Amino acid sequence: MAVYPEDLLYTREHTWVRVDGNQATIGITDHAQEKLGEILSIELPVADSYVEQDESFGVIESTKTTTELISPVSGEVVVVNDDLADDVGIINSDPYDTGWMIVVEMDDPSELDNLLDAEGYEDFVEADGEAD
Amino acid sequence: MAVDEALFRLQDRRRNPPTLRFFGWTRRTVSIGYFQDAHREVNLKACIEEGVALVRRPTGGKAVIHDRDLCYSVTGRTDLPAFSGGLTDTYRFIGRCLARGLAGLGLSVSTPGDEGGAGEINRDAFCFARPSRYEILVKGRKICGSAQSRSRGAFLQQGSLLIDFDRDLPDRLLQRAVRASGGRKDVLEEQVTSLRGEGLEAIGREALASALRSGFEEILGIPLVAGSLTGEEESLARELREGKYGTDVWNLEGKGME
Repeated sequence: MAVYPEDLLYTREHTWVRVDGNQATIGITDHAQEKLGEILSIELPVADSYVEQDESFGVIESTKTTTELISPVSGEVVVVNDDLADDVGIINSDPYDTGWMIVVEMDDPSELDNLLDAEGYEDFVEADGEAD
Repeated sequence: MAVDEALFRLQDRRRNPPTLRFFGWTRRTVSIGYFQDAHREVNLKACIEEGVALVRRPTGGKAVIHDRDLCYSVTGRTDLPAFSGGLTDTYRFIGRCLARGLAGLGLSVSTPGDEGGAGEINRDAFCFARPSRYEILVKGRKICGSAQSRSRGAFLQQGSLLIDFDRDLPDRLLQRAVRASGGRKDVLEEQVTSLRGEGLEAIGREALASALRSGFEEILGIPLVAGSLTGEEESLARELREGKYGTDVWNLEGKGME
Protein backbone atom coordinates (compact mmCIF):
# COMPACT_ATOMS: atom_id res chain seq x y z
CA MET A 1 0.00 0.00 0.00
CA ALA A 2 1.54 3.30 -1.11
CA VAL A 3 2.12 6.01 1.51
CA TYR A 4 1.83 9.78 1.13
CA PRO A 5 3.63 11.85 3.81
CA GLU A 6 1.55 14.79 4.99
CA ASP A 7 4.43 17.28 4.96
CA LEU A 8 4.78 17.07 1.15
CA LEU A 9 2.88 18.55 -1.76
CA TYR A 10 2.05 16.45 -4.83
CA THR A 11 1.33 16.76 -8.55
CA ARG A 12 -1.07 14.83 -10.74
CA GLU A 13 2.06 13.69 -12.59
CA HIS A 14 3.13 11.75 -9.48
CA THR A 15 5.99 13.95 -8.32
CA TRP A 16 6.32 15.33 -4.79
CA VAL A 17 7.80 18.53 -3.38
CA ARG A 18 9.31 19.19 0.04
CA VAL A 19 9.41 22.95 0.61
CA ASP A 20 12.12 24.56 2.73
CA GLY A 21 12.04 28.35 2.44
CA ASN A 22 12.41 29.12 -1.23
CA GLN A 23 13.86 25.73 -2.08
CA ALA A 24 11.87 22.75 -3.33
CA THR A 25 13.20 19.20 -3.14
CA ILE A 26 11.57 17.02 -5.80
CA GLY A 27 11.10 13.28 -6.24
CA ILE A 28 8.51 10.75 -7.41
CA THR A 29 5.82 9.29 -5.19
CA ASP A 30 5.61 5.85 -3.66
CA HIS A 31 2.62 5.21 -5.91
CA ALA A 32 4.66 6.15 -8.98
CA GLN A 33 7.59 3.90 -8.11
CA GLU A 34 5.20 1.01 -7.46
CA LYS A 35 3.58 1.51 -10.87
CA LEU A 36 6.88 1.86 -12.70
CA GLY A 37 8.37 -1.33 -11.30
CA GLU A 38 12.11 -1.75 -10.87
CA ILE A 39 13.84 1.48 -11.86
CA LEU A 40 16.89 0.92 -14.08
CA SER A 41 18.17 4.36 -15.17
CA ILE A 42 17.53 8.05 -14.71
CA GLU A 43 18.46 11.19 -16.62
CA LEU A 44 18.35 14.41 -14.57
CA PRO A 45 19.21 18.02 -15.37
CA VAL A 46 22.58 19.41 -14.31
CA ALA A 47 22.97 22.01 -11.56
CA ASP A 48 22.40 25.60 -12.73
CA SER A 49 19.94 24.53 -15.44
CA TYR A 50 16.37 25.78 -15.40
CA VAL A 51 13.18 23.77 -15.00
CA GLU A 52 9.61 24.91 -15.58
CA GLN A 53 6.41 23.92 -13.86
CA ASP A 54 4.52 21.24 -15.82
CA GLU A 55 7.48 20.68 -18.14
CA SER A 56 9.80 17.68 -18.31
CA PHE A 57 12.94 17.82 -16.17
CA GLY A 58 14.20 14.32 -16.83
CA VAL A 59 13.44 10.77 -17.87
CA ILE A 60 13.25 7.62 -15.78
CA GLU A 61 13.50 4.09 -17.18
CA SER A 62 11.92 1.16 -15.44
CA THR A 63 11.38 -2.43 -16.45
CA LYS A 64 8.10 -1.35 -18.02
CA THR A 65 8.66 2.02 -19.66
CA THR A 66 10.56 5.26 -19.99
CA THR A 67 8.63 8.07 -18.35
CA GLU A 68 9.17 11.81 -18.41
CA LEU A 69 9.49 13.48 -15.04
CA ILE A 70 7.31 16.58 -14.83
CA SER A 71 8.43 19.46 -12.65
CA PRO A 72 6.05 20.70 -9.95
CA VAL A 73 7.67 24.17 -9.85
CA SER A 74 9.79 26.55 -11.95
CA GLY A 75 13.28 27.65 -11.03
CA GLU A 76 16.97 26.95 -11.11
CA VAL A 77 18.30 23.51 -10.23
CA VAL A 78 20.71 24.05 -7.33
CA VAL A 79 21.47 20.45 -6.31
CA VAL A 80 21.17 17.08 -8.08
CA ASN A 81 21.16 13.81 -6.14
CA ASP A 82 24.42 12.24 -7.33
CA ASP A 83 23.76 9.13 -5.24
CA LEU A 84 21.20 8.06 -7.86
CA ALA A 85 24.01 7.61 -10.38
CA ASP A 86 25.47 4.91 -8.12
CA ASP A 87 22.22 3.23 -7.12
CA VAL A 88 19.03 4.30 -8.86
CA GLY A 89 17.21 1.56 -6.93
CA ILE A 90 16.90 3.85 -3.89
CA ILE A 91 14.01 5.54 -5.72
CA ASN A 92 12.15 2.24 -5.34
CA SER A 93 13.26 1.56 -1.78
CA ASP A 94 13.10 5.08 -0.33
CA PRO A 95 11.23 7.45 -2.69
CA TYR A 96 10.61 10.25 -0.18
CA ASP A 97 13.98 10.45 1.51
CA THR A 98 17.27 9.24 0.00
CA GLY A 99 15.52 8.76 -3.37
CA TRP A 100 15.01 12.52 -3.91
CA MET A 101 16.09 13.81 -7.34
CA ILE A 102 16.74 17.56 -7.51
CA VAL A 103 16.49 20.74 -5.41
CA VAL A 104 15.09 23.80 -7.19
CA GLU A 105 15.37 27.44 -6.13
CA MET A 106 11.79 28.48 -6.83
CA ASP A 107 11.01 31.48 -9.06
CA ASP A 108 7.47 31.82 -7.88
CA PRO A 109 6.37 30.04 -4.70
CA SER A 110 2.74 30.84 -5.55
CA GLU A 111 3.02 27.96 -8.07
CA LEU A 112 2.73 25.69 -5.03
CA ASP A 113 -0.96 26.68 -4.89
CA ASN A 114 -1.48 24.48 -7.98
CA LEU A 115 -0.31 21.35 -6.13
CA LEU A 116 -2.22 18.79 -4.06
CA ASP A 117 -1.85 17.99 -0.37
CA ALA A 118 -1.46 14.36 0.72
CA GLU A 119 -5.20 13.79 1.04
CA GLY A 120 -5.89 15.42 -2.34
CA TYR A 121 -3.21 13.29 -4.00
CA GLU A 122 -4.50 10.10 -2.41
CA ASP A 123 -8.01 10.93 -3.66
CA PHE A 124 -6.56 11.64 -7.10
CA VAL A 125 -4.76 8.30 -7.19
CA GLU A 126 -7.91 6.46 -6.14
CA ALA A 127 -10.05 8.31 -8.69
CA ASP A 128 -7.42 7.79 -11.37
CA GLY A 129 -7.87 4.08 -10.66
CA GLU A 130 -4.69 2.81 -12.25
CA ALA A 131 -5.06 -0.86 -11.65
CA ASP A 132 -1.48 -2.06 -11.67
CA MET B 1 11.28 7.33 -34.87
CA ALA B 2 10.64 10.99 -35.66
CA VAL B 3 7.09 10.25 -36.79
CA ASP B 4 6.40 8.14 -33.70
CA GLU B 5 7.67 10.86 -31.40
CA ALA B 6 5.63 13.50 -33.25
CA LEU B 7 2.48 11.38 -32.83
CA PHE B 8 3.35 10.93 -29.14
CA ARG B 9 4.08 14.63 -28.49
CA LEU B 10 0.82 15.70 -30.10
CA GLN B 11 -1.08 13.14 -28.01
CA ASP B 12 0.58 14.79 -25.09
CA ARG B 13 -0.93 18.08 -26.20
CA ARG B 14 -4.31 16.43 -26.95
CA ARG B 15 -4.12 17.36 -30.62
CA ASN B 16 -4.69 14.05 -32.39
CA PRO B 17 -6.63 10.78 -32.01
CA PRO B 18 -5.04 7.51 -30.81
CA THR B 19 -3.00 6.12 -33.65
CA LEU B 20 -1.85 2.66 -34.71
CA ARG B 21 1.02 2.88 -37.16
CA PHE B 22 2.94 0.22 -39.09
CA PHE B 23 6.30 0.84 -40.68
CA GLY B 24 9.40 -0.82 -42.08
CA TRP B 25 12.93 0.29 -42.86
CA THR B 26 14.52 1.27 -46.15
CA ARG B 27 17.78 -0.35 -45.04
CA ARG B 28 18.94 -2.66 -42.27
CA THR B 29 19.01 -0.69 -39.00
CA VAL B 30 19.93 -1.26 -35.37
CA SER B 31 17.70 0.63 -32.94
CA ILE B 32 18.84 1.08 -29.36
CA GLY B 33 16.86 1.99 -26.26
CA TYR B 34 16.74 5.52 -24.89
CA PHE B 35 19.28 4.84 -22.18
CA GLN B 36 21.61 2.43 -23.96
CA ASP B 37 25.28 3.15 -24.59
CA ALA B 38 25.73 2.86 -28.36
CA HIS B 39 29.51 2.40 -28.15
CA ARG B 40 29.23 -0.35 -25.58
CA GLU B 41 26.43 -2.32 -27.11
CA VAL B 42 26.64 -1.94 -30.88
CA ASN B 43 29.54 -2.93 -33.12
CA LEU B 44 29.63 0.48 -34.80
CA LYS B 45 32.55 -0.43 -37.05
CA ALA B 46 30.69 -3.43 -38.46
CA CYS B 47 27.54 -1.32 -38.91
CA ILE B 48 29.48 1.24 -40.95
CA GLU B 49 31.19 -1.46 -43.02
CA GLU B 50 27.88 -3.21 -43.76
CA GLY B 51 25.91 0.00 -44.35
CA VAL B 52 23.68 -0.63 -41.34
CA ALA B 53 22.01 2.47 -39.88
CA LEU B 54 21.75 3.21 -36.17
CA VAL B 55 18.96 5.07 -34.42
CA ARG B 56 18.19 5.71 -30.75
CA ARG B 57 14.53 5.22 -29.88
CA PRO B 58 12.37 7.50 -27.74
CA THR B 59 11.35 4.36 -25.83
CA GLY B 60 13.49 2.29 -23.50
CA GLY B 61 14.49 -1.33 -23.78
CA LYS B 62 17.26 -3.14 -25.60
CA ALA B 63 18.91 -3.21 -29.01
CA VAL B 64 16.75 -4.43 -31.91
CA ILE B 65 18.09 -5.38 -35.34
CA HIS B 66 15.54 -4.31 -37.94
CA ASP B 67 16.05 -6.55 -40.92
CA ARG B 68 13.01 -8.49 -42.03
CA ASP B 69 10.59 -7.19 -39.44
CA LEU B 70 7.44 -5.12 -39.25
CA CYS B 71 7.37 -2.34 -36.69
CA TYR B 72 4.23 -1.05 -35.05
CA SER B 73 3.54 1.88 -32.80
CA VAL B 74 0.50 2.77 -30.75
CA THR B 75 0.07 6.29 -29.42
CA GLY B 76 -2.79 7.32 -27.18
CA ARG B 77 -3.87 8.88 -23.95
CA THR B 78 -4.30 7.03 -20.70
CA ASP B 79 -7.70 8.62 -20.11
CA LEU B 80 -9.13 6.56 -22.99
CA PRO B 81 -10.99 3.49 -21.67
CA ALA B 82 -8.87 1.01 -23.64
CA PHE B 83 -5.62 2.35 -22.18
CA SER B 84 -6.69 3.53 -18.72
CA GLY B 85 -5.62 0.48 -16.73
CA GLY B 86 -1.98 1.42 -16.12
CA LEU B 87 1.33 0.36 -17.62
CA THR B 88 1.01 -3.38 -17.42
CA ASP B 89 -2.60 -3.32 -18.53
CA THR B 90 -1.66 -1.27 -21.57
CA TYR B 91 1.08 -3.75 -22.51
CA ARG B 92 -1.35 -6.58 -21.94
CA PHE B 93 -4.13 -4.93 -23.94
CA ILE B 94 -1.93 -4.16 -26.95
CA GLY B 95 -0.45 -7.65 -26.61
CA ARG B 96 -3.96 -9.12 -26.87
CA CYS B 97 -4.61 -7.12 -30.06
CA LEU B 98 -1.32 -8.27 -31.60
CA ALA B 99 -1.92 -11.84 -30.49
CA ARG B 100 -5.38 -11.81 -32.04
CA GLY B 101 -3.90 -10.56 -35.29
CA LEU B 102 -1.23 -13.28 -35.30
CA ALA B 103 -3.83 -15.90 -34.41
CA GLY B 104 -5.66 -14.77 -37.56
CA LEU B 105 -2.63 -15.97 -39.51
CA GLY B 106 -2.94 -19.36 -37.86
CA LEU B 107 -0.30 -18.97 -35.16
CA SER B 108 -0.78 -20.26 -31.64
CA VAL B 109 0.18 -17.29 -29.48
CA SER B 110 0.65 -16.75 -25.76
CA THR B 111 2.38 -14.33 -23.40
CA PRO B 112 4.63 -15.17 -20.41
CA GLY B 113 1.81 -13.87 -18.21
CA ASP B 114 -0.59 -16.40 -19.74
CA GLU B 115 1.74 -19.22 -18.87
CA GLY B 116 2.13 -18.10 -15.30
CA GLY B 117 5.91 -18.09 -15.55
CA ALA B 118 8.64 -15.88 -16.94
CA GLY B 119 7.71 -12.24 -16.59
CA GLU B 120 11.25 -11.78 -15.40
CA ILE B 121 13.34 -8.76 -16.14
CA ASN B 122 15.30 -8.91 -19.36
CA ARG B 123 18.76 -7.80 -18.32
CA ASP B 124 20.32 -8.82 -21.61
CA ALA B 125 21.27 -6.08 -23.98
CA PHE B 126 19.61 -7.72 -26.97
CA CYS B 127 15.87 -7.31 -27.05
CA PHE B 128 14.92 -10.73 -28.32
CA ALA B 129 17.26 -12.59 -25.97
CA ARG B 130 14.57 -13.28 -23.41
CA PRO B 131 10.84 -12.68 -23.15
CA SER B 132 9.82 -10.07 -20.60
CA ARG B 133 6.39 -9.33 -19.22
CA TYR B 134 3.50 -9.65 -21.64
CA GLU B 135 5.65 -10.17 -24.69
CA ILE B 136 4.09 -12.30 -27.37
CA LEU B 137 5.33 -15.86 -27.62
CA VAL B 138 4.74 -18.54 -30.21
CA LYS B 139 5.28 -22.00 -28.70
CA GLY B 140 7.27 -20.33 -25.92
CA ARG B 141 9.56 -18.41 -28.28
CA LYS B 142 9.63 -14.66 -28.70
CA ILE B 143 8.34 -13.21 -31.98
CA CYS B 144 7.76 -9.61 -30.92
CA GLY B 145 9.62 -7.12 -28.72
CA SER B 146 7.96 -3.97 -27.35
CA ALA B 147 8.86 -0.90 -25.32
CA GLN B 148 6.90 2.04 -24.01
CA SER B 149 7.35 5.69 -23.17
CA ARG B 150 4.99 7.87 -21.14
CA SER B 151 4.55 11.56 -20.54
CA ARG B 152 1.72 13.59 -19.06
CA GLY B 153 -1.08 11.15 -19.69
CA ALA B 154 0.13 10.14 -23.15
CA PHE B 155 1.95 6.97 -24.13
CA LEU B 156 3.89 5.57 -27.06
CA GLN B 157 4.38 1.83 -27.41
CA GLN B 158 6.72 0.64 -30.15
CA GLY B 159 7.43 -2.91 -31.17
CA SER B 160 9.03 -5.13 -33.78
CA LEU B 161 7.51 -8.35 -35.14
CA LEU B 162 9.86 -10.76 -36.83
CA ILE B 163 8.96 -11.85 -40.34
CA ASP B 164 12.29 -13.63 -40.67
CA PHE B 165 15.29 -13.73 -38.37
CA ASP B 166 18.93 -14.06 -39.33
CA ARG B 167 20.64 -15.52 -36.27
CA ASP B 168 24.07 -14.43 -37.53
CA LEU B 169 23.23 -10.74 -37.30
CA PRO B 170 23.61 -10.22 -33.51
CA ASP B 171 27.07 -11.81 -33.78
CA ARG B 172 28.09 -9.34 -36.43
CA LEU B 173 26.34 -6.15 -35.37
CA LEU B 174 26.32 -6.21 -31.58
CA GLN B 175 29.28 -6.08 -29.22
CA ARG B 176 30.98 -9.17 -27.88
CA ALA B 177 29.73 -8.65 -24.31
CA VAL B 178 26.19 -8.31 -25.58
CA ARG B 179 26.45 -11.44 -27.68
CA ALA B 180 27.89 -13.35 -24.76
CA SER B 181 25.04 -12.37 -22.47
CA GLY B 182 22.10 -13.07 -24.68
CA GLY B 183 22.71 -12.86 -28.38
CA ARG B 184 24.44 -16.24 -28.77
CA LYS B 185 23.20 -18.20 -31.71
CA ASP B 186 22.33 -21.33 -29.77
CA VAL B 187 20.39 -19.28 -27.20
CA LEU B 188 18.56 -17.40 -29.92
CA GLU B 189 17.73 -20.67 -31.65
CA GLU B 190 15.77 -21.71 -28.58
CA GLN B 191 14.23 -18.36 -27.69
CA VAL B 192 13.37 -16.52 -30.89
CA THR B 193 11.07 -17.36 -33.77
CA SER B 194 9.61 -15.55 -36.76
CA LEU B 195 6.73 -15.94 -39.19
CA ARG B 196 9.08 -17.77 -41.53
CA GLY B 197 10.30 -19.94 -38.66
CA GLU B 198 6.68 -20.92 -38.06
CA GLY B 199 6.17 -21.90 -41.68
CA LEU B 200 4.46 -18.68 -42.82
CA GLU B 201 6.89 -18.01 -45.63
CA ALA B 202 4.55 -16.10 -47.89
CA ILE B 203 3.53 -13.43 -45.36
CA GLY B 204 5.17 -10.05 -45.99
CA ARG B 205 4.89 -6.73 -44.21
CA GLU B 206 1.60 -5.67 -45.79
CA ALA B 207 -0.18 -8.93 -45.08
CA LEU B 208 1.12 -8.94 -41.51
CA ALA B 209 0.06 -5.33 -40.96
CA SER B 210 -3.38 -6.12 -42.32
CA ALA B 211 -3.74 -9.11 -39.97
CA LEU B 212 -2.59 -7.05 -36.98
CA ARG B 213 -4.97 -4.23 -37.84
CA SER B 214 -7.81 -6.78 -37.82
CA GLY B 215 -6.60 -7.95 -34.41
CA PHE B 216 -6.89 -4.42 -33.02
CA GLU B 217 -10.32 -3.94 -34.60
CA GLU B 218 -11.62 -7.20 -33.14
CA ILE B 219 -10.35 -6.56 -29.61
CA LEU B 220 -11.36 -2.87 -29.63
CA GLY B 221 -14.71 -3.72 -31.23
CA ILE B 222 -14.46 -0.76 -33.62
CA PRO B 223 -13.29 -0.29 -37.19
CA LEU B 224 -10.04 1.65 -37.52
CA VAL B 225 -9.97 4.53 -39.98
CA ALA B 226 -6.93 4.70 -42.27
CA GLY B 227 -5.31 8.11 -42.31
CA SER B 228 -2.17 9.98 -43.13
CA LEU B 229 -0.13 12.40 -41.06
CA THR B 230 -1.65 15.82 -40.41
CA GLY B 231 0.30 18.90 -41.39
CA GLU B 232 1.18 19.47 -37.74
CA GLU B 233 2.40 15.87 -37.33
CA GLU B 234 4.47 16.08 -40.51
CA SER B 235 5.99 19.37 -39.52
CA LEU B 236 6.95 18.18 -36.02
CA ALA B 237 8.31 14.90 -37.46
CA ARG B 238 10.49 16.86 -39.88
CA GLU B 239 11.78 19.00 -37.03
CA LEU B 240 12.57 15.89 -34.97
CA ARG B 241 14.23 14.14 -37.89
CA GLU B 242 16.49 17.09 -38.63
CA GLY B 243 17.27 18.07 -35.05
CA LYS B 244 17.32 14.69 -33.31
CA TYR B 245 16.92 11.32 -35.01
CA GLY B 246 19.05 12.26 -38.00
CA THR B 247 21.96 13.35 -35.84
CA ASP B 248 24.92 11.43 -34.39
CA VAL B 249 24.76 13.47 -31.21
CA TRP B 250 21.37 11.90 -30.42
CA ASN B 251 21.88 8.45 -31.91
CA LEU B 252 25.38 7.86 -30.55
CA GLU B 253 25.49 10.02 -27.44
CA GLY B 254 21.83 10.34 -26.46
CA LYS B 255 21.91 14.10 -26.44
CA GLY B 256 19.75 16.34 -28.54
CA MET B 257 16.86 18.72 -28.85
CA GLU B 258 14.12 18.73 -26.26
